[in-house]
Amino acid sequence: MSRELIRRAAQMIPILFGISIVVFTLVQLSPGDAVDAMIPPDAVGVTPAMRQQLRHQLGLDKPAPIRYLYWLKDAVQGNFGYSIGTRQPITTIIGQRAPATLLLVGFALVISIILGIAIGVLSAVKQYSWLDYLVTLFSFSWLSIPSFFLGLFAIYIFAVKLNWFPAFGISSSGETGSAVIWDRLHHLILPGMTLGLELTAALTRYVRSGLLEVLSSDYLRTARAKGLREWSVITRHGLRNALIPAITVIALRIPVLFSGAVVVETVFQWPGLGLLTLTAANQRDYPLIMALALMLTAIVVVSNFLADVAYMIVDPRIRYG
Amino acid sequence: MVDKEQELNELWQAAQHGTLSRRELIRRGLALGLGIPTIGYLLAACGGGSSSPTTALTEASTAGTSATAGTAASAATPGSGGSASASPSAVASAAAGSSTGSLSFDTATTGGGGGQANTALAGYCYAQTGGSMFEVRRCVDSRLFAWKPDLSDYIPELAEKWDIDQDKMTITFHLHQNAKWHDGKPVTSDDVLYTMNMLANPALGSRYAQAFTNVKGYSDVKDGGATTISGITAPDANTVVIQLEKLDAALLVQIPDMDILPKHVMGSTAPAQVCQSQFWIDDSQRIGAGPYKWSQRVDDQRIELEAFSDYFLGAPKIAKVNLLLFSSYETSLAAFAQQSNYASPLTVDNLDYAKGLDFGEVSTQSSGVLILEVNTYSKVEPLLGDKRVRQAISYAIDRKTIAEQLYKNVSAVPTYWTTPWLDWTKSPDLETYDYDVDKAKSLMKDAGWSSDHEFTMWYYYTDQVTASVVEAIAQYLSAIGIKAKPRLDSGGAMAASEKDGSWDFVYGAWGLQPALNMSQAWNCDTTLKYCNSDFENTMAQARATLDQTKQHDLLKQAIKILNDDLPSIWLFNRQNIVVANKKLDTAGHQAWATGSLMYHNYIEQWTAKS
Repeated sequence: MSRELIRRAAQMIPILFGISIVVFTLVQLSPGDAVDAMIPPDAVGVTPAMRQQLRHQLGLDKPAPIRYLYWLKDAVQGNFGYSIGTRQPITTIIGQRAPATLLLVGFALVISIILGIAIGVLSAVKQYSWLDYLVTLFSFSWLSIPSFFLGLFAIYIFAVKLNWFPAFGISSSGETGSAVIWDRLHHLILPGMTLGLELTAALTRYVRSGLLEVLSSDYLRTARAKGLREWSVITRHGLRNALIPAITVIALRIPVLFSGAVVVETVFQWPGLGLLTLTAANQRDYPLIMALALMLTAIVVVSNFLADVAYMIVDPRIRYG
Repeated sequence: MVDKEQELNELWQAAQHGTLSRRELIRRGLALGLGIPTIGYLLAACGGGSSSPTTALTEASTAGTSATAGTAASAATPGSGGSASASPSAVASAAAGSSTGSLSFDTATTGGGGGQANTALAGYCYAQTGGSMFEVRRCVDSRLFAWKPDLSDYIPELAEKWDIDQDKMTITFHLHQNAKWHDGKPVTSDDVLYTMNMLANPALGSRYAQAFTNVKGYSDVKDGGATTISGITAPDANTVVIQLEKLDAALLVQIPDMDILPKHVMGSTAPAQVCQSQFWIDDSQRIGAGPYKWSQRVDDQRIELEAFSDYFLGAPKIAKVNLLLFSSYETSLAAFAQQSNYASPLTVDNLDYAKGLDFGEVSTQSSGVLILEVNTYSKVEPLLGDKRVRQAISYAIDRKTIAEQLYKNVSAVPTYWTTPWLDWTKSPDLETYDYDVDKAKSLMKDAGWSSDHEFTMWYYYTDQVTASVVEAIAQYLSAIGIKAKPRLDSGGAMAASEKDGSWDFVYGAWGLQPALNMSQAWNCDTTLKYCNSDFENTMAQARATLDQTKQHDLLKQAIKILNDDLPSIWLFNRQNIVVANKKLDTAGHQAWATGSLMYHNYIEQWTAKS
């Protein structure tokens, strides 16, 4: 199994390399560059010569392949260069932003797993009850509604109308001590729930169908015949098997959570990697776009890898040849 | 001691608000052990009615203008004793103690970021491109003088007065004695010289360099033969002298754009590296001489500012200001609705909702014009260079209907591009180009138009209203035989087509500029390549006089030339729409104006109820 894992890990390197070429090419093909983004088209008094001078200062006047090779040489040494937009080291920028996104995604993931499994189990146990129908209705709704709409809706109801939560941001100005923790949580709930609801809905459906499948299986009937309580039968015997597809869903949805964070962070002005990605794209900040795209690629690849590993653990019959 | 300070605070506030009689003020001042000069300042702040800081600044600004207008030798002087900036340190510290509360508002309220809400510190280095963080600059930085919000006049900032000598070739700026950087060091003439030489240096590539065109010695700097402009000197720590080779009124117009930078922080940085300096991004280095000190930046959240108690125009009344950063107009408005954001920019789509908020007050300010640029040197269709075709385009577009239907009448139809609210710019001679499709067809026929080429009409704003407007324009143009296909681009492909001259039309916005800056936009060197000797000569004459009446007449002639020649089609006056919380008291001053111009908004006098 360990040889298998090493082989799978080694496959990630050419994937990341290939993606870096694809992303760099796409960035080059997209219209405009950092100078066009930096100076508005309607800036009065800015001559084409000034724009060209700025391009030269930023190294944007070199041919694209040369710039890629420069970038690659530094990137393999862990140096992703400087952001064109803020002139800060990219590793510093990402290091500053990553905690916010990890907090958001982590919160969404935990909430989704807890709610998804709990509601899925209830829905399966109470199959065809009003609760089951209600859960089904909400699950399909949450799966269908785009997160930007859900976010704006949540802001309107829970922030503007009810004033329960802040409409934006990660923190309030001037909070200190233990108030910071509550303040952070207070800011986290709306974007975290918005981001996590889709996964919650998906997990609910998978857990429900997985559990329904195993609830009528022979080994559960045997467990019941042994005199185990129904709750014990479901949680200790049924749920473990029902969770196999759910684990895949969770692992494969982690990248979706990160990409979903771009929208949610923008709507809620959450200062994480998602908002940074949007800013970098708007500013044609290609060194930053490259680093972020590579990071997202790495998350996808690693998530798939973890899904495989988890699958091997929960179901020893699975082997990859 | 604390009690004494508190009493001093109360005394200062009472003096500012005029709630104490002069006799009572003297009695209490003496009881506190204040000296006669200090009490004199308190009296001045209290009163006698006319010497509040606001009035003092207005007087100074009027005087400053008269100096620029050619009454010349009489120096511009601020109102005596009335300015809080003239206060001795004891009073300044008392005023600092009165800074309370906090205020948060969207930093994109007055525009910026190329028409989009600010998403980050894009264009943070104003020195090169002009930047887009206009509210930051207004709060943190200072310049020699700023604009009045309506651009009708100047308001002294670091230069408390300036003289223009009899031959109009020497301008002398007298710096405010009490001006300090946020680190406590005095602002001196060396800082002004450093800033101007840095801006002029071609290695930086600043858009403001051309402002010094007619300053003695600038050509040497431009050619690389010198690093300092010989015509800009500092006889002493508080005086800056600019000597001109040729009278140039446009130099003064551009001085409000030049935030003065601290030489003792920036001085060792090579001009080419100025915008790479940590000064712009390191919280501990980012100092200015404005009313608010940079406290910290929370990425994509806010820039936190603290009142600068030694601000030379008076300590700000609000202790903390948060400039909020939003990437979405809707989120900004939601924060406003929640009253955690005291001012928010609006789109036309959100206008009705904002008007329904009883604690909000909606206002609009001209911020420029929406314009249809035409490639007058097109190789594909040389007839675009025929003014009859451009006039026909102007007649063919029903701008009033578009303004009513799509801009909800927020944007009026302009006849020219400059400050439409100033009386002197209004002229009955200007053609209004009211919708007249028959006249348009007639002009097209006269010009001999027969092209069936499909032109590209670029636009770069991504909102739905803009998309609808360009579709409508394309329809109107088709009625006179011009096939134009709208194409959205945020700057890239459009810029490429502009670079190689293959573009046809561009729908976009131009920021409002003072009339003397018109020649910056309309000349042979820009993308538009507008070469019109009549216009150039008229503008050159306007720049060469400080006689306001004569200058205005010349500028009106220049406007008339543009109005007739239509190098671009003026479509709508662009408006910044702002909703502000009624709890925000701006002390009677106009808070929001043309964002990209450095006007003085008197933020140091604002108060906000929580």
